[in-house]
Amino acid sequence: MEQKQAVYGRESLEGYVPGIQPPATRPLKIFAFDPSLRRSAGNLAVVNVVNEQVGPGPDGRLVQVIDYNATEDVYYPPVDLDEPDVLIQRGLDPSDSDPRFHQQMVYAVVMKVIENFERALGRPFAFRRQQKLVVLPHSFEGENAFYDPVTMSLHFGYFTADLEDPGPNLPGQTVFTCLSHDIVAHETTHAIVDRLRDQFNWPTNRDVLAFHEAIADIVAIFQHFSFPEVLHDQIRATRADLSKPGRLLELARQFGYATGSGQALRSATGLDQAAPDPRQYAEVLEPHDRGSILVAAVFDAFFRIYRNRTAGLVRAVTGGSGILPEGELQADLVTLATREASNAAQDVLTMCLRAFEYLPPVDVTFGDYLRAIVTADFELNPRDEFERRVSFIDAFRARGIYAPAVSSLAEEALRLDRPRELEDVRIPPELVTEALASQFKIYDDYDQPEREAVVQLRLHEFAMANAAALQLDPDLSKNLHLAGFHPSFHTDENGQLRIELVAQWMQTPPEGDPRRVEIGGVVLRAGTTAVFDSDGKVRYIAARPLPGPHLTYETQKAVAEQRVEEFKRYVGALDERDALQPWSSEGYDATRMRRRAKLSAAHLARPSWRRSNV
Amino acid sequence: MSEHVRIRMYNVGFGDCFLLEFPRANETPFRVLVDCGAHTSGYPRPGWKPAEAVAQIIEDITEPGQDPALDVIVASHAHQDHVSGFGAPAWDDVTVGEVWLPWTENPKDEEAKVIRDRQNKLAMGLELAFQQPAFNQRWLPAKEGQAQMNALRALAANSRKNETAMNTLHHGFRGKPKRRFLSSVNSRKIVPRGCPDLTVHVLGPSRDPEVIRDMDPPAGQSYLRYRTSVNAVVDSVLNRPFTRSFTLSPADYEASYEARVSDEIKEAAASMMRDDDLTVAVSLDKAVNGTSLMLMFEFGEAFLLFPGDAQWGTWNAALSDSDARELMARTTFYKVGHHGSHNSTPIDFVEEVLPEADKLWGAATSVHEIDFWPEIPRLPLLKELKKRSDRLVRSDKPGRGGEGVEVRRGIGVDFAVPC
Repeated sequence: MEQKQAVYGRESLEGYVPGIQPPATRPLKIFAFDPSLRRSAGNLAVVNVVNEQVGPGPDGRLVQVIDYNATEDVYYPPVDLDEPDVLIQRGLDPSDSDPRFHQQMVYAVVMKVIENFERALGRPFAFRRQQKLVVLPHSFEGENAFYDPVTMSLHFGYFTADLEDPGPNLPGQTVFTCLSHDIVAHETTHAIVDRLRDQFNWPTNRDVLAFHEAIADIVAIFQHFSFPEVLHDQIRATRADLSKPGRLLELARQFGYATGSGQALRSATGLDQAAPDPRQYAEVLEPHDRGSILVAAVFDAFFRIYRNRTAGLVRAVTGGSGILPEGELQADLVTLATREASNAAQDVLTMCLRAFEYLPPVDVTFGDYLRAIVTADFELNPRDEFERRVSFIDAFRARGIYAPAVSSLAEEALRLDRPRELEDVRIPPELVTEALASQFKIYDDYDQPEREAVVQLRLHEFAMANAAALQLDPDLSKNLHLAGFHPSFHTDENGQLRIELVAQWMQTPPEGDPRRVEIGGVVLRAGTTAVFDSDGKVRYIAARPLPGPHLTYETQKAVAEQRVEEFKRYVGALDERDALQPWSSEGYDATRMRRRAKLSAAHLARPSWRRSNV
Repeated sequence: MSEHVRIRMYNVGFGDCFLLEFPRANETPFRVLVDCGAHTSGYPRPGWKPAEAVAQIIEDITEPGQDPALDVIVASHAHQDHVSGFGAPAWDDVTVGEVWLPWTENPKDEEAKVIRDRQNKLAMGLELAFQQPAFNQRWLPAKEGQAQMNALRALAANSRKNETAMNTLHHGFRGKPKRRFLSSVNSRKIVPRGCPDLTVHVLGPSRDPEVIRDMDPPAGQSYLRYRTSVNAVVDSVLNRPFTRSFTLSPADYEASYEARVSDEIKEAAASMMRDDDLTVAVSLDKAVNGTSLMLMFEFGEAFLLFPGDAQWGTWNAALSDSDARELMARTTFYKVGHHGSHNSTPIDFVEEVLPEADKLWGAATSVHEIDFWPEIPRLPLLKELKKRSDRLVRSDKPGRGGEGVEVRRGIGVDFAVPC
């Protein structure tokens, strides 16, 4: 991230006064959860965000907060984070009634989420066309928050807490969704996922929108683990068993209670606290609820990895028995377990986000995601320390999530591969380094557009020459295009720097073509992601093909046929449940799938069922 | 014994009102009234009132020299377009044997009470919210904004609690009728007293948590607020998230700061608020429809399916139950769900369950076209049903009638369903 320049020394009588290096980070106060937890341990947190140039707003390189209220058509004055009175107290103190604290908190949380993605992806992040993400912390009155992909803006609503059943809120108190760490993190993740895979807003199978929601919840909940005081407190309270329910694993507590549901909005442990039930994956359609299945799988894996990491520690302090004594844990053990939990959380979150590089560009399923996680992690940690991959595979299996076109859930079978036809072809190896260089403005600013253009051209040529092997249709070459490319770099477990080039292509049969499948304004596209090694060879491909004679293998054909079927089945299932249709105008059918995507994206949904009734 | 069940569909416009007459030897027929209500936006003609239909019903159920009497009254669910007619004072003089309501109307059922309260609260909140200036502000600039506003208000009004009508159903009528609160769990089969040849199968609503979930509308917190704002002062205090000192008009703000939100971003926010209005109103409507009784009247060879306005949740529960599915496959007369709209007659039911051509004797759609809801009735659905029975009759366009179908001009349509 672009940082503030050092304040260089001035001339003095004896040469130069030594300059003061600006700090790398800027501390800012936020609620680690939301105002409903008030002063409970760790809720008033200070986070360190990158120290960048910020104007009033805050207005930084990636994010611009503008406090406009569309319901009332008014503005609220922006906070200036560089004002000395603000700086001296590490940002404004938490306050419900001062919009400037809200602006500060939203900015800080958005920046933390971006930082998490940058760390996992191993590259600097930027929004499309270098645009800033515009954030409106009090955009409208309503129990809602949403990301608008067209204007690249985040909107947070505010509303009045339930008068009869407000939970920990005061009846009729104003609840600000922008003061919920989880809601801000959730919506920010939508914006980032949209940048990484813009096709994941198109509901082409039952998993796509749910995947968006799941990632957003995963990021929001894992961020809780980055607040040391909160984590420490929970480890102590749960005697190091993190899978016990608690605020660490809850999502949007105040929001859930304020809407009269008597519980947090969602939780990391799934739709109900019961054992995993594969029927849910087979039946649940609502994106947030379906997403909860994936969230539960990820946290199931996380708990196991965490237990594996702490098993040795527990044995060491219990003289080998592994059985913790009754009562409070010893303070040092709490500290050590907290450290392990925090590292495990960072590790698992990184696994979850790094997997994006290995996802197909279109029509994702939870199974594709499992393959991507396994592949990405194998690249960096072949030994599978702490049974990280096994934990993931088991957690997905328990929920009936299988990968398309994979014969078993063995790790080798799940790892992506490359088809035989691509074994001996390569792109010029320089291309990988060119792509890498094009990421850094500072490296050589003036050549950047040319570098990008060259890489683009070569990658397009590569796809044209190897279309069938990439499971794209050579007969539709005019409709084949490069959807994006970027380098990625990481250090593997041997400390070696790995550089890879990730490219994505898409293919859309044109209107009138018999291969085109379009329902309700959503088109089924073919898409392939390829990961190139630094020697220019293809390491992996992740493809979602469309049916056609270009597919040579039976499994590919099966995947393609199944996609079309799944899409139709999904639309049919939504049609049956659609209560909106009768109340709509005549053009509804032609755009109904797009509309459904918009409506569900704009909603935080609600708890699955209200506790007060059970 | 006559060989027909007579079904009288009254033309109440956008609403439901059916009288079922099951023949009995040496006796007046056993009479069941299913629903009596009309949507205020869809009356059959100007100047019409639901009381007009009620007067006609009373005439039809009065035997010479006797008081008007009904053996059973069924109110499928509490929507205006199914119950508003029960608000007419004329019912006080009608002797009724039993009143059947869905279990969600049971005053002693705690779970039912929670559901009713939530639905009523939200209905009231929406009605008030849709009268606020802010509502106009976000809808007027939209495409066909005025029409959409009218449609939304009409939609919300249909869920408004009809105190008078519900009061009649719960406490009114002559003869101290027994009230029954039905679900597919506690009362699968009823053989009503006085008509041993009739079996009524209760196919819905169930008490399955999935189905109940559909009866639970979204919290709609920001709409509920208006219920409490009895005066403008309270309203403005509750309304404003920050004190005036923090609040800048666009002009004042722009004089001091550079950052602006684009018109596109403002429109994104407005469009979201409109979507919210629509989603909440539709969800409430769906929630109330979700409580619909779904009944199958079995009488000899006649199987009359009355699903009320049941939605996917209730249908799905019924279609997934093998006994219920088998029963539905024997349907000889189908009251098309929810005025012939798309979401109240599943494709699976039409294509897989409904019997082929000659077995389905007839079907009735009680409907009235309303400009702002062009998708009701859903014409492709009616076309499919027509393929399965020649006697698909619309209350608003009954045609000339035919064998077993008699049109009563200005009143409705009579069906003589073989039994």
